[in-house]
Amino acid sequence: MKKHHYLLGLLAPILLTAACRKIPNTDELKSNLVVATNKAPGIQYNSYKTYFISDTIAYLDDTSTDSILVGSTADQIIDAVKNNMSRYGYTLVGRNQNPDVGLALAITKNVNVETYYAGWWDYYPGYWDPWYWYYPSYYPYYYPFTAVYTYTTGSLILNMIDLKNAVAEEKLTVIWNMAGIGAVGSSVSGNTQAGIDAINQGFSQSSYLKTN
Amino acid sequence: MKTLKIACLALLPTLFAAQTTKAQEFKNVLLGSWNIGLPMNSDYLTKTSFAGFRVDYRRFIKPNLSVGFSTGWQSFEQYFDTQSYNSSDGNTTVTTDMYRIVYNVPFMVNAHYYFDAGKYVKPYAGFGIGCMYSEQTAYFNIYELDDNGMGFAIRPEIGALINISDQFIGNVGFNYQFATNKSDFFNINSLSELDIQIGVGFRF
Repeated sequence: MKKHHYLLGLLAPILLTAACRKIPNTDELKSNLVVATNKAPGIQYNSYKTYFISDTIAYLDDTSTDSILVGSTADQIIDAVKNNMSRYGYTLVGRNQNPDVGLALAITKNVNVETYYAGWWDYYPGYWDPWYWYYPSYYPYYYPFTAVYTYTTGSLILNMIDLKNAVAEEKLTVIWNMAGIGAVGSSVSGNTQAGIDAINQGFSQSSYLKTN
Repeated sequence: MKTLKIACLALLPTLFAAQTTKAQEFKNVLLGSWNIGLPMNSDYLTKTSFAGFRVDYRRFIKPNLSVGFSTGWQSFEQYFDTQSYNSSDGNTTVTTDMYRIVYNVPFMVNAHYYFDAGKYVKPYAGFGIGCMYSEQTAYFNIYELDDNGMGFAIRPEIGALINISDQFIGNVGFNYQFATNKSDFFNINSLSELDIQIGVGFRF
């Protein structure tokens, strides 16, 4: 009889330990940014052939007053966009050469922006707007899709804006959008590479952008 | 010697009857079982879960029939490597790796019928009906998406109680469980699983 008590005493903790609800080991998750892309319905992307992208990235950080990102870090990220645009058949032109689409890059870090809606940066003090000076009439941004994200740590946002029809439509329609979101580290090179990887992934999952 | 053998053979039914009577003296059984779950909803996750537990109370209303209730939990989890997910309208694509979790807590009333199979083993077939609470969670990067709800649940099962001593018994069981829990968010229309129980308990 005593033997059975021992048996039960041994079995019970083993069974309970094995059975308890496990906390998932999220350490196994990759540190890659989550990449989300949105396309506007009904857009024929092959009707756009040329693009312009600034050599400056809008930057938003709650610990800094900087509103733009320049230099080698910005160059690497912008080059990644250019390479992908070239791969999909787009031609880079100057801002005053009537590009069909404009690409605007933005990076946020340590900022809580819970919803992402048309032109939220319009109202954010100090936010650099690449089109503000080019379109004196200041057309509003328009998102034909719903994109809601929570940025708690870092994000890289790339918007493709229809400039070809901006004057006729009197708005800057975002026809494609990409966001790389997630945790960022303290290493600039590591974060830059994460951003480049996100851009490459964003284009890879958006093959409909091809011009031919 | 021959007479002795005949006498022994003649006594055997009496001995079995005595043992059967003794085995049927208890009216209640309380079981705790380790539950191993094999998910049948292959769309959401497929990995066998060894993280489950089940508690059963059974009240014998006849020597070969018990009614009772059971509850427990089962925690399924599976890692999915990086892949792209498209929205139903095809306009949004999200690429990430993720952990998917399903955590189930069923509450069932049960009836079990027992077959005579000797002194040590009491095979049974049973059926449970009740409800199930379920949580579904997806973890990716630093984010988490979750949904939860209640569903109607049924559970046919077979198994055997094993005599360990006058007070203690073992249990080995196998069941199919179907629950109507839905999640539009994760595109789940129902939750079903196959379970194996290995447990111990006592009778009183």
